[in-house]
Amino acid sequence: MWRYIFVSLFFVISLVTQSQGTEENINSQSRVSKLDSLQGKPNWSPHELKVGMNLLGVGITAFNPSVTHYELQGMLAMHHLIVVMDVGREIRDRGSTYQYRNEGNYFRLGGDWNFIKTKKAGNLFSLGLRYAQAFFSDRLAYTSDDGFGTVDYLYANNKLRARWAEVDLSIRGQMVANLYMGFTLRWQILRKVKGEGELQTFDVPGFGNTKRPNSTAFDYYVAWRIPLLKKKRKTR
Amino acid sequence: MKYLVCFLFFGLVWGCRDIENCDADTNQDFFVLSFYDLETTAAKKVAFEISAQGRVFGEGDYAYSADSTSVSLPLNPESNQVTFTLDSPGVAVVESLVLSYEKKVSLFDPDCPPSLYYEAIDTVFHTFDSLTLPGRITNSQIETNVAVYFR
Repeated sequence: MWRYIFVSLFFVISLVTQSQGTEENINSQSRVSKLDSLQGKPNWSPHELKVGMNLLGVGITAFNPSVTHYELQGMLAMHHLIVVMDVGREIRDRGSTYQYRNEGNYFRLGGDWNFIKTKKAGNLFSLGLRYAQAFFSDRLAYTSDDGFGTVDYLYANNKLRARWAEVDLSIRGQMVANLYMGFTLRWQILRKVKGEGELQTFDVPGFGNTKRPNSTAFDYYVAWRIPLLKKKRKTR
Repeated sequence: MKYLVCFLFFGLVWGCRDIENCDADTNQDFFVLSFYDLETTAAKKVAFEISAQGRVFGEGDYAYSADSTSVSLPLNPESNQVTFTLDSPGVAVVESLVLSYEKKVSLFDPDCPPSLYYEAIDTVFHTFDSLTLPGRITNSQIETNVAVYFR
């Protein structure tokens, strides 16, 4: 419980500091052209693409030899709507008296609604939904005497499939030029795993461990913004 | 400031791990066999020497005494069926109990050893006067898995 209190508390603090930076960017552009504003008649043409990667996964991979986690993200913005897709791969080893390995790929696909009115700065404060799937396998090996002599156990699930849904809260702020950073807070629900045999899987790539059917997660991203709308040339 | 907050964020999320007590795992790798009198249905003291596949139980993790009315016995993890022989010393009575089951293994917590348990326990054959299956899963919250009744 304390873990969630601390996470919520620092999420709020981080939200305030991030939004202060976002607000400064907004206020510095007091005259916003109709093209740049998200108010007025909606223009559903895609106006930017952000391509990024999960920095938290990179950090964990760098400092934890038992975990390999890479994730790429694309965010396509159309008016207030952001279409988001994540693809990732995760390999995780556990155990000292046993050996458990879980590896596989996952994706998330969904949409966010950006509550920031102006699009020129490219900042993001959004709430959205995701549908996610993981395709993975796991294996457990250990030795034990369970009443009928010492046995070397080897269990494996070769074709596991999991699906879940997410409610995501995202913030991306402009750091410099077209470089953006920010986090996503996830509430993961409706998890279901198929393909288990004797071994009950412990990890789901992209979701986390299976100790609870629902979970929360936090990810931090860095992204590069690619504007898609051409600026109108001023005619003399 | 915001970078400091972000670093603190990482630290707290990473530091606040759930710490599990392995003893809280309710899965068990053995089943509980209880004995009852057929006519009175009262609990009956164990009067058998129990063995399976050449192993005699009654010591160590599977110890029981003459005053016990139930015993904890393992199921063979390398098979989905096991045959128990229950021999009454001094009496020419040998009972048999053949059980079938499904084996499962899970990780209660990464810091705990793998948790082996059984489910779908069923009887294939028995020589007792009567038998019931109050609990088909080996779990510490289930008092008795197999109840046998005899005179």
